[in-house]
Amino acid sequence: MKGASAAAPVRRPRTGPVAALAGAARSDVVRDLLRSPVALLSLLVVVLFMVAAAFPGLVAPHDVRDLSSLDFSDAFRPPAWLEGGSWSLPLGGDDQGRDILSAIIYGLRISLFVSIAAVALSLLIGVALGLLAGFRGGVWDAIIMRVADVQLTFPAMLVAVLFDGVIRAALGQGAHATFAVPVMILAIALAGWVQYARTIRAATMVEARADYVAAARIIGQSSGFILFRHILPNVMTPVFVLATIQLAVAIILEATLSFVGLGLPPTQPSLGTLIRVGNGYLLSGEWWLAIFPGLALLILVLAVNLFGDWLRDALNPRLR
Amino acid sequence: MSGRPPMTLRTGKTLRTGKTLRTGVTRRAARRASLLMGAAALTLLAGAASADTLRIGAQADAGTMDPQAQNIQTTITVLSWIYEPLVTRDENMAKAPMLATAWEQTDDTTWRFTLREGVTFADGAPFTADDVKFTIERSQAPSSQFSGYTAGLTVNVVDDLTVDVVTPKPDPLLPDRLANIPIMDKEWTEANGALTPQDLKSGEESYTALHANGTGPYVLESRAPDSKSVFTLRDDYWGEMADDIETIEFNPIASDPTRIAALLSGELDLVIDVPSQAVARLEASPGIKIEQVDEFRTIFFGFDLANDDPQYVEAEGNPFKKKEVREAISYAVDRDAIVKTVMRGLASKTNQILAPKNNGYLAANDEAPAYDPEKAKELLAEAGYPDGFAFTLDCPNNRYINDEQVCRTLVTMLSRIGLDVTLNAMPRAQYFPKLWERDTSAFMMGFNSPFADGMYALETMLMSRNDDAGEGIYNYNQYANPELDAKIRSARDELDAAKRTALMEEIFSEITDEVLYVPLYNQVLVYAMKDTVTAPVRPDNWLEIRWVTMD
Amino acid sequence: MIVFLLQRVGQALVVVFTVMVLAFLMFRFLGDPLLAILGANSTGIQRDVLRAELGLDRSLVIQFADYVWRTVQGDFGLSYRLGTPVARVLAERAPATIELAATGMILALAVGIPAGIYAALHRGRFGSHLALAVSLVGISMPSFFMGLILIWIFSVKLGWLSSFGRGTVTDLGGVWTTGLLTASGLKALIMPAITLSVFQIAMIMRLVRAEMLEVMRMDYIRFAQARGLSSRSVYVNHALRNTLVPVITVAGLQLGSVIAFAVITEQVFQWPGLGLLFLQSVAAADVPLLAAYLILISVFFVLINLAVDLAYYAIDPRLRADVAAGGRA
Repeated sequence: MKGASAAAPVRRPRTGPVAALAGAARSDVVRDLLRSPVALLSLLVVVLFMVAAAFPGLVAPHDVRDLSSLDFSDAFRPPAWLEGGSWSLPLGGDDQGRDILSAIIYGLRISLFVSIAAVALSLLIGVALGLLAGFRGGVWDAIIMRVADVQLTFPAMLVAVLFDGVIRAALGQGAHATFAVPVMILAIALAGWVQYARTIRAATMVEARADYVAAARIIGQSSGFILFRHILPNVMTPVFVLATIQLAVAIILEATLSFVGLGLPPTQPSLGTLIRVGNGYLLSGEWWLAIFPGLALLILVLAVNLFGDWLRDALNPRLR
Repeated sequence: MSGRPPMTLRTGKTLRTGKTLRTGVTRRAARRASLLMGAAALTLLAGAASADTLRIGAQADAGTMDPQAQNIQTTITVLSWIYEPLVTRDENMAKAPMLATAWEQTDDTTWRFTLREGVTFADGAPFTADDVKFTIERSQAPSSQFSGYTAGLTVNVVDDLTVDVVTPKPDPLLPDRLANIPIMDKEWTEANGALTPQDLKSGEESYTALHANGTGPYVLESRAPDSKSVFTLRDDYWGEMADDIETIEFNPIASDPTRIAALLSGELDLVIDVPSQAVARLEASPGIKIEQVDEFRTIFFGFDLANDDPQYVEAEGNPFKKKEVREAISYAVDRDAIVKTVMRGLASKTNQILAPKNNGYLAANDEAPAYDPEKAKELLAEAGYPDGFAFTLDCPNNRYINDEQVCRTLVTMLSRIGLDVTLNAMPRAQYFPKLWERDTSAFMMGFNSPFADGMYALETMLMSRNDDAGEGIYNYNQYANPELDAKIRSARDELDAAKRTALMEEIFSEITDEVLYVPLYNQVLVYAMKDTVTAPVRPDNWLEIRWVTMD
Repeated sequence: MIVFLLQRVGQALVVVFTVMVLAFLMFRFLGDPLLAILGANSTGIQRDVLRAELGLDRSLVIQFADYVWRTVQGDFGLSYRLGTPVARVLAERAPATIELAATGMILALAVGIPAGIYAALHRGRFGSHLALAVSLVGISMPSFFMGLILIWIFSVKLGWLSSFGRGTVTDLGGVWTTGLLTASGLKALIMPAITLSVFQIAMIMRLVRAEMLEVMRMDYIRFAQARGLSSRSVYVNHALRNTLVPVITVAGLQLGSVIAFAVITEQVFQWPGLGLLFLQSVAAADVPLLAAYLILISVFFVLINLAVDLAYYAIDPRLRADVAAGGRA
């Protein structure tokens, strides 16, 4: 398992996940980062998008959540550099007169919230089950890994679409609007936990046999203590790499579900919903409604993927 | 009222387009001859098929091939290529003979229909009075969505080509009602065990869901639900056709841009559900033309007017029961902006639920309050909701032109007067059952009165609900007002046409004054087609295939 | 060998059984069938009568056994929305999806493998960087957005390609319909197949490149080069052959993901396959169809996995030793 070897250079007892992060950010990795313009640029883009999503009020020209502030005379206003455009709506206006740039930023907020929450949840489930399987072994391991095998049978996209579709049918339309966000987070999280569980299990099995764990056992530390104070921090590095790559997958999943109408309602527009709505105007000449949110989505996913790729290589000693 | 309206189309030598009516027979004969020319004919056929195939694109598929199961315009339109009613409409929407050549009222409640001679069903069986009796009785089944047209009728067969239809009460609209009942063959239907209309939710497959046998010009060649249905021309059709298009392909394409792209790229010849925003683009495209007409369909919003604590409203009591609140909503809607931006000018604003040219329509009722959010806020405060309230608006997203966009715009507009609206947009397959269960507090509706007469709208949308009598079946606002019921009944039973119209006008004025619904606009219906196609648009969005020509 | 085989088949059966339980619960409890048939105004007595008629008053276990029995016979009930047997609808739609997925997969292999080999052999050159960069965009591009742009350019702007449906299809003996025999069918296939394969091309290309680089670092390749064999012969005879084993395995598994992504592609291009049917059924809450789709797709995936497992077992001798020693695969 590649993850196990990636964990190898940090096999020193550490405490807490923060320390693990610090481990990932060892000085040589930082030096690597500074030397790679592509990685640096992609990290910059990701951070920029995240900051914009975290503080939309500071970045977005308009607060698009306040529907009463919309002006219908701005509906379908072209981007600023085209005839009829205005710099108050730099990327143009949508069918409600909403500023597209602001809509993208607020949409980004929802998209990132859903995908980060989904990744966090699948990480939580995956790490917990992976630790259990790796540390306890035996029946636990057999059950968890068989379930993982079953789950792996189905591609993430299909799991998310099936889960969301079935829940949607079960809840009925009215209730679904209320639960759209949690249902989506759950759908995407369920689609992704297996990867973490398998990685963590493999790494844990290696760690559990390590000398320091044996030493801890000898001095009478409890299993739980050993698990969380010693083993967990040392197996987290591959998980962070995986989480970065999974974030890109989650963002695409969210957008795709929203686009096919299984996602968020039009009153809570995520990037995927913006593209779905804009799609209706693609042929009537108002291309900016769909194209700009689409580009934002593409740039974000590309940046996350580039950074994830680089991170994987940087933390994989075999490729150094 | 003896029915022999001028047969504008069938006897006329020229169509509106000025094109001479082709006899059709010679061309068909020529094609058949060419088929006999041997092996080469097979390859020719593949090439010829596209030249003489009309490919139609629409938003949704016909739900069934059973003509009495689903009262939705798309289904009705598609089935009208296969099945035919006794009475039809000409291009001025006047009644015209179809399977009946004449009809007259023999007493207050009895109508005598003389049937057309020599008409056969596609399977060769002759069309007779028995078929009429059978069909009308079949349409009265609970699983029929057409029972509203035929409730209480009795049919007496006089001879093979004459039937008497007896109405429970004097009913001047009987021929109009029967224009919605396509005739099925008794023997064929019985032989295939389809005695009742297909119940779309029952556990049994109905033969008629996928098979059809009518007197109309086309027969069902193949059907893949939601994907493609193919119809071919009958050689022995009794009536006249403007053209003799050999094959019709009906393609449901749910995605608006994909459907329009298909027309632009030449994969479709005619699109009958054109989103307003695509019209300008299509008009500017070479080789494509637009036909439009003011549709009989009015778009309006309705609200729960019955429950004291509506399910999807967060407010003290039921605000919608207060006239001021409904007025406030009407004042808060900028109809001009919706018509201009969302509908791209392809709509005319209104303040009543009945479109022009319908009996009962009064131009004065069209006068909608000017957009005035301040006045709306005052009205809300007067009603006891100075800070507004929250509710959920149910809305279809694939039924009316730009339905979801209109709803989103409404949400935006209402937010300005402090109403916090959650939009719940869904496909029609979920929307209408939800409304039918009255599981809604606020909803969008588009209504098209079927026989150019406002009575159907009054009966079905404003009377207290009584399913057996077909009354109030669409009153999704659950309004129940015995006084209004009585007024509508008296108008319905009035035999003097002028008096009846006056009564209806009065009732529609009252509905407008009381703001029982908040009307927005009347749709303009747009068909887009290749230059080589001529497809006149009927204002009830009924694509009359017998009028369509293609070069 | 037998133990391994039985283990895998047993596991597959457990998966199918679990999915059937899920599908049954959905079928039984999602949307009240009584209400759906009788309508909201039905009386309690009417419902009791129908409940007995439909066998809904029996114990759940018996109902489930009945459900399994009917499912095994291919009886999935009637679609609420279409009023026709679910099995027939699925059979009608399956050829469209299978043709699209197969074309997409072939395209992905035909482009992805050569591109990956090129990128590995010309490591560090401009062409290789370009291929990698393009592949990253391919992985990052949501397929629906790709489809929209393709339609916009090739159908609307240029008018070259078909934007919806399968074109003219030929019926082969009533069991299969194909779009591959007509010009319009082939034309209609181009854009959906490209949209579907872009992600796979990128995946396979990166995989081939990584595997190839790995193999080329191996000692025996170095020895072969040291022995003076031409690089062409080394690459083709040694490196590529060893690279392709994992690639083919992954390609098998990717076939599953192609079917999954087909849902999106079918929606964008209104391709009348199973994926579009699934989305339409979700919109209409057509529970019998959803349940059947769930079972069908699971069986399909289980079969693919089983096949891949067995192929892997046959190819890789180490795995055999591992299984024999009781280790985890």
